[in-house]
Amino acid sequence: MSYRLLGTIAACGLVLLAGGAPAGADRTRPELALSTDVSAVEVLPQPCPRSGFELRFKNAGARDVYADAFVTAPPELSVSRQVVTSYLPAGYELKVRVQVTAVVGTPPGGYALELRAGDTRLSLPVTVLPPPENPTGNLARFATVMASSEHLPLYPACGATDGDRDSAHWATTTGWNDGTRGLFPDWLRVTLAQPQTVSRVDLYTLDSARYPAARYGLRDWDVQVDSGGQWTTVAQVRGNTAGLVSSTFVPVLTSGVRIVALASNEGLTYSRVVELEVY
Amino acid sequence: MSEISRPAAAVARRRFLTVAGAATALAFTVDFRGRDEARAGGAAPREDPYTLGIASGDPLPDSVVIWTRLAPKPFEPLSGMDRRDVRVEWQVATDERFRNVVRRGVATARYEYGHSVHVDVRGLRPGRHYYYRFKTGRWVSEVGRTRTAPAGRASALTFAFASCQYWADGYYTAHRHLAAEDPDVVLFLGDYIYEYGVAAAGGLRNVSMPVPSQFRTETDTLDRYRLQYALYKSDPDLREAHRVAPWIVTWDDHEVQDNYAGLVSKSNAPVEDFLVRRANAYRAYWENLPLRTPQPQGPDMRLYRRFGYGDLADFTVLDTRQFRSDQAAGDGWDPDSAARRDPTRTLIGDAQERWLTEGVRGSRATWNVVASQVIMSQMDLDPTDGQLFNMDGWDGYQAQQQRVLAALAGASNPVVVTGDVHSSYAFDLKQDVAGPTIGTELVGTSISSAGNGMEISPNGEKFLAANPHLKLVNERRGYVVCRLTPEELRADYRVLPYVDRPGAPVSTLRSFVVEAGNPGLNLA
Repeated sequence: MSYRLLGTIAACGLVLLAGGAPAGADRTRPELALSTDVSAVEVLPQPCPRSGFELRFKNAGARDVYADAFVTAPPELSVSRQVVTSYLPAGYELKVRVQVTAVVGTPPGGYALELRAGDTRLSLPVTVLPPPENPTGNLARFATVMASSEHLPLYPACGATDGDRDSAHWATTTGWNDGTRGLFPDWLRVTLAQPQTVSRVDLYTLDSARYPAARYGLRDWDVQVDSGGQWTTVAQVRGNTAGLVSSTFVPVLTSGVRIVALASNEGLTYSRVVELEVY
Repeated sequence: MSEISRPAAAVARRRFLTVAGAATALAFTVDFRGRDEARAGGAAPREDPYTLGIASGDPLPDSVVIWTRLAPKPFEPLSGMDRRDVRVEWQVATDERFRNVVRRGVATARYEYGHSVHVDVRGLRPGRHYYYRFKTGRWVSEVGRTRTAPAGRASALTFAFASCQYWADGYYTAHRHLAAEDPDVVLFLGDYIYEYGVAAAGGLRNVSMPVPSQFRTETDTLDRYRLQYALYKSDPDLREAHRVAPWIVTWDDHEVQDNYAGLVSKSNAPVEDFLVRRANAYRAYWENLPLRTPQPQGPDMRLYRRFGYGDLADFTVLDTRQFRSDQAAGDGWDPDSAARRDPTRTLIGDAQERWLTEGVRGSRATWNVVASQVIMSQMDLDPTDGQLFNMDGWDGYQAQQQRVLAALAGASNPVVVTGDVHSSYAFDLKQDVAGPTIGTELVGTSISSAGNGMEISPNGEKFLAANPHLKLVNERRGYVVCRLTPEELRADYRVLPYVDRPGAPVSTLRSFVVEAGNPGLNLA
């Protein structure tokens, strides 16, 4: 099915503009080349984008062009970029990160992304792995996570559920930082696939030798659970200076947990969470 | 303090809205045989393609640019269009019912320009309102209103200016109020978009429909910049402000990247890579705004330009990003330094400086309005004996700042209007802060950037204490409305109490009057 769709789009032809030429006057085909940094991608079926590849899009011709590359995914996969359009000077190679996610419930097996630019086509194999095993009991680990705002691209909400509690990895691979400097409250929310009994929330705020929690970590927050569409506060943390705070409360059946960040030890700046765990 | 103090304008606008809403395809059944410049083979869209609204801009006495961009599914690849060009008919009339159509034609919405349409409508009469609309297939756009610049003697002019509309920081209620002010022209002074990825919850907008996942990445390629404009234009209040008046726009940094300087990116990316990004950003800017300048090819675009409003005012619109040297001292707030005073460093480049100084000196208009993105006045953050200057503003390029202020001192009634800093400021403009006042600098606050804001921050208090020529500091959101006559300029600072939810009222924070020939701010 996706094969036929590709053919249809390709028949429309490539439209490009030569530098300095009047619009539409020069529509000869440019020489475009596509490649990727990896020969295959492995993806766990879970909500956060943790896999991907670098798309390399080159103008091998002698004149500057604006050109499109298309990334077509089968219905089981989604990609962060379906089209990449760019100015490409002669000889220039553009490098763009494309994230790949597999819908939860996707059968494990072999899939493929189709990459296309001009006459160039490329098929990138994608292996969907079996659903992740989660012996830790941390319900947040592979759940859907969302935040009031995110300091993107480095500090997405997904950084707070990636299984990495190590603050030394802050600003490289892990952690959520909100995107509204000086403004509180912020919130970070985990949505569970089905209701579960929850009695503990562990919050790892930023706490490293370089960024100690007492100066950069979260100071005040509320822990809330979803009770039928309403948020109920089940724990409050005030005046915290530690890297880890474990909040326990009477077990409750819920489909969602969130923390509402009220203040940082740094003052009117940001909320920073390295890992959020729900048990 | 008064809420929307111009009931007459509000009523007039409401009436206009009603008529616009009633516009039907019927009036378009007349034979449209303008210049057939369209060789477009594409089928008309199957859904309403005017989701990004319509706009007009760059008004001259005899012409104005009308704009739209076809985007039936604005957040999807290619905005829901296919790769063929599309014919778009347009009409311009003297009345909102299009009984007296004075210009019409056919334009081509080209695939390579994101199916944008820019028509430079010529042969119009000066100082007049006109109404315009587009048609493609069975889809007729809303009716827009625009206004040509006057020629010769001009007795009055109302313009509004605004800047900085970070989408995730709040709603564009300020634009809705700005539209109701009935301005003859709107100046937008930069940060029309921000390059940052957008969270699913939409930041302070806290939207109920999650922002789609393709918005998480920072803007870099042309497709991604196009998406960002589509998101920003999804706010109906922004579309309304475009619909009711012509805009004269310029950019600041965030249309490309925070605090970039010419060839230098914030992260010091290789110049080769950054120029590709800049080319993509400039192209998307051109595609999405009503500009007369030709489409950019590659990383350069001429944006600085001048508009005459008869003998009343000249508008000199600057580009303070494309040609600048890298910020001194690694950017930020820094003390005076040799680098700051280095005469070889430049904010606007040699050619633009020559064009600016010759233009304002040769101007025969009563008022010389200079649209600058960043603050031109000296502004010290340190209330003690020390000094701290913003290396990203004119203060960071002190040698050129001094030369330009000297040129303005020789011009007729200079008024600098500025954005960038998300605060309402008003300065007596001085070449030397201890010397005479040579003009005025009005700094407008943001439309939404920095959220609800506050009356005054601790830094705001420091600015007031350290700069005697600074007469106003306020950090709420809003815009400024200026009314010009041959005798005086009146500036109303309009502010909103909140932007994290729609519907805020507007009130006048402060009004100043400047007398022609007698530089300096007076409280109105």
